[in-house]
Amino acid sequence: MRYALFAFLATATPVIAQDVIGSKGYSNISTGAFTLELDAATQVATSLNAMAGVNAGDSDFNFLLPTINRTGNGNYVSVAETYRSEALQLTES
Amino acid sequence: MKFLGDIQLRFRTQGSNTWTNVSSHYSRKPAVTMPGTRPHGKAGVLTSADITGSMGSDIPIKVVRTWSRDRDSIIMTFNLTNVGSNDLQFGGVGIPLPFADNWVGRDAADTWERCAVSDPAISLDTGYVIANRLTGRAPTLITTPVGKSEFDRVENWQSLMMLSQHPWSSLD
Repeated sequence: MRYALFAFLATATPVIAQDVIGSKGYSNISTGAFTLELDAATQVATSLNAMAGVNAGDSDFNFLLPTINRTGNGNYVSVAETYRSEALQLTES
Repeated sequence: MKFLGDIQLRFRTQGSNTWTNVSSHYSRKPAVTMPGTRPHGKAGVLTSADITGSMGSDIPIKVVRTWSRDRDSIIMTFNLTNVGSNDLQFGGVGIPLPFADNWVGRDAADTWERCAVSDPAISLDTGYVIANRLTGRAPTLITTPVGKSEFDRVENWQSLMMLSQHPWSSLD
């Protein structure tokens, strides 16, 4: 079963797709509109930069990183997520 | 902490009254890259990996996540396979979309430079989530379902404020 598909779209000047291992051992993938930085071990996106040419460390780089919040009750992270709630059937493979 | 690329599932075996909630961020393990799908191994596929190990132990579901490219878009796909002996019923599929939208504790200048605003459209297969930086610089980011099936929908949107919370906690 194949579902839960999401695309990330933006307008930007296309560049040649490339894969490089960035600093900290991360894998950076440039698609033209984005630089997707994946954690080398888990392959979750530690950053998704929607502006071509921005370097790590620039203020705009952390566009999609969750941010830690601190309150009197402790730390939490502000995360929003989309989800579906209706029942699906997945039969034996 | 949840990242883009994580997934949450709520399921039960057919006939059971008890739901099981699992998430790839509960006990994160190294992803196992799928053979032949390393970056640029297939047309459009950037990388694909089995992340079942991060979903907890003894779940009857194999989870494979694929990052691929379609022109200037990035597509994230999850393939779920029932590897158990019983039919499964799914009560929910959640995908965290973490944006830097936390303004608490930041001064005006820091918020302006580092934060984003997001706005979801809960409209099923035409649903989307749009995000922009406060600075107005750089492109608008649009997150949208790819397919047109009944499974490719934005049905709900929830802000999770606590690390331990899952989207269906209120249903338990």
